[in-house]
Amino acid sequence: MLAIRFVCMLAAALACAGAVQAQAPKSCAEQRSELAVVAPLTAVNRLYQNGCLGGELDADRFTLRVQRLFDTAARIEGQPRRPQIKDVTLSREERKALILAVLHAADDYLATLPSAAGPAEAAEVARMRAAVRDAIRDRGDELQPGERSAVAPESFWTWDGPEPGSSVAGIDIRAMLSRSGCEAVPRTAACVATQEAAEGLLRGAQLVRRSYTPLAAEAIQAASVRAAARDARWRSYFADARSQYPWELFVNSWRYETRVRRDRGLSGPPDWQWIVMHPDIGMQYVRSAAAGDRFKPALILELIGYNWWTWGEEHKPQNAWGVSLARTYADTASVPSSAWGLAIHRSNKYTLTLTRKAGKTGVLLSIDLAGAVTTASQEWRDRFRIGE
Amino acid sequence: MAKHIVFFVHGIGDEAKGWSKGLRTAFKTLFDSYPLPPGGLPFSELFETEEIFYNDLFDQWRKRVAKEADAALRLLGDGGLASEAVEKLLQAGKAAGGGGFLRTHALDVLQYRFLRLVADAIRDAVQHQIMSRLAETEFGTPVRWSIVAHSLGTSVVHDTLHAMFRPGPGTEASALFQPYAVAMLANVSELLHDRGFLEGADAYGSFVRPNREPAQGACRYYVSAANGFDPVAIAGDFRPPANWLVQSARTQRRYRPLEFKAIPKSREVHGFAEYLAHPGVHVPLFRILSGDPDRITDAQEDAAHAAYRAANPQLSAADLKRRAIEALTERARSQDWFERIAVWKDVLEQFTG
Repeated sequence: MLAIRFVCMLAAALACAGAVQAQAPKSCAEQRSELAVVAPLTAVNRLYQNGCLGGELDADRFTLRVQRLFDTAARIEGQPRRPQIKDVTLSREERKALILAVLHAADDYLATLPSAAGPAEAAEVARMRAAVRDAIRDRGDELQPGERSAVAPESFWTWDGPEPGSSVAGIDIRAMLSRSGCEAVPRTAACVATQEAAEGLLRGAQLVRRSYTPLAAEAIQAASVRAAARDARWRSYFADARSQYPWELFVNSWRYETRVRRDRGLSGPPDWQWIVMHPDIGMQYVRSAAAGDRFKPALILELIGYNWWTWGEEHKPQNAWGVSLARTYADTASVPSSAWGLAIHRSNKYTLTLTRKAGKTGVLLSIDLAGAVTTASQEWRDRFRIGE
Repeated sequence: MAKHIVFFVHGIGDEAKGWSKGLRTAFKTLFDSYPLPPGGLPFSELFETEEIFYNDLFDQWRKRVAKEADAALRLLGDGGLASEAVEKLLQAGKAAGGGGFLRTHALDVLQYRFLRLVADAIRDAVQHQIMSRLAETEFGTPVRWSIVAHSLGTSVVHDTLHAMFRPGPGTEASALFQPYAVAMLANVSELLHDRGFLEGADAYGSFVRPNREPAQGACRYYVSAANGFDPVAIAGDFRPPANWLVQSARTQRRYRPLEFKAIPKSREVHGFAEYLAHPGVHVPLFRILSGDPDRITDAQEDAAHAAYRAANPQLSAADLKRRAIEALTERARSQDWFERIAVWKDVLEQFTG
């Protein structure tokens, strides 16, 4: 809490050093006007980072054309007004058509860029247009199996800002401005033209980058569904499969690791578990025992066993079966108090243990008692008590 | 405008859902406390923050087994068991669900490090929360997201990103939604690395390294912050070798080690909020997250450091609290796991909230 209080103090201290931040949203035109006083590289970067160069705030007609394409595509499925990735499902053909339409918009935009800045900038524009046309060609053709796409990755079209060495579509914006002596204010006429060219290239690159978003949306949606399914299963594994004592979790973790070691990505939970030294309680019935010993509470110690199931559609274990070698203990006089047996598990909930000692067969039934028993009356707890 | 999503990931402790509310508010307040530069936008127009929560997975199995063992013991009564050995097993199961540092803190670290079932469940939970949020992004806008993790959370984030994005079948298409910045505060990802999970590598050999190319690294920028007075950060000792970065990543300054030495007024040298409150951490972080290295000027950064020093006067070398912290930092260099856990305990009990 002290750290949070410090933040408030710091805010007060810094407010003395400069204007406190305004809260009203700024349009790109307003931003551009404010940026007249800062270095061109910083100005270009802020416009780019704030969505004013091919982004959602940009009022440029080609950007608006691209935005309309996305809005239309999102409405194809009758989705809400502000569609999110998870809401939009496009067929393969629709997605391809959308990507190509966005790429064509980027190409059309780059064709409008003025060549006033100079031959070096014009060459950069020509280079970017060639890359865009490659992308159009590649996206328009169906790749044959095994054939590698020539399209540059999304990162090729992304600018990480003015750090040295950072480029977009192979163009070093910092170097481009520097070449024209466009590094400080006030700007010369040549600098203004170069900055406009830089902004144009960044807008073109951003439009191309946005052509990747239908592919990204598809990948994100698929990954989200897979991760949700795995997460649901993991939670069910710990909640619905048989409970595990610490040593069982250790053994099962070790077995699980040996199985998934070579897998890439996350594997999801297993559909099995080893049972090791697992204590449990149940009711024992021995027909041939004396009347008072026939139906008694008993302890079961599962020495070693195995439980398995399949994952159902709801990501819950289904059709679970298990078997264990068990030792039972009951407070009986007419029959031996302990015996070896075989425990059979069903649905991670019911356990039937069959025992045999001195020619007498015992049957134990255990049902997930824990939940019920914690709220059971004292009378019922007393009935279960052994050795009293 | 599609906003940059920043996830916050907790460390160890009794965190509950909603744990980050105050932290995220403070983060926003701190960002907006710097004067708005010309053409700049405030926090609310640039970012959305989201918390990641996984602590419940540590507790789920042990509380369940404790409940069952307790029920059995209560049914059978004191001294009513036919077998002393079975009673001990039930007692052990019951004990797993108890409170105290060992169960809620040390056991969490040990579970994450040594129980693959628990660790993978947590990694999946983290991935699920990230992907669910990314799927909320407006259609047609490039996704931009970053993570700020603290303490044990750094190891969880490291492992999750490695599993998500290491190229190959079964992993995700990071080329389309590579994280932007990964900020590790009190980084223990190397200390807690699991060679089994990383196929024989350590955290420096994993895929989690910064690179502009998604095929070469799991993020674009990597920040690792360490307070020289934080025993956990000292034990974590995150110092990647020279060949960790390719030349282009080095030129583009994609890795930022942030080392500072400060005892905050709260004395919480390991606290998440305390890390973020230090200008040596948040100034570079804000510059990276905003993609604007000029957003905070050098003069403003200097003023922030001066304000921090004024609000958090350093303790003299003779101060008992300082000596206690320094003693812990010495012990933190131990290679012994029991000693490490003991130090972690002392740090959390004495120097965090």
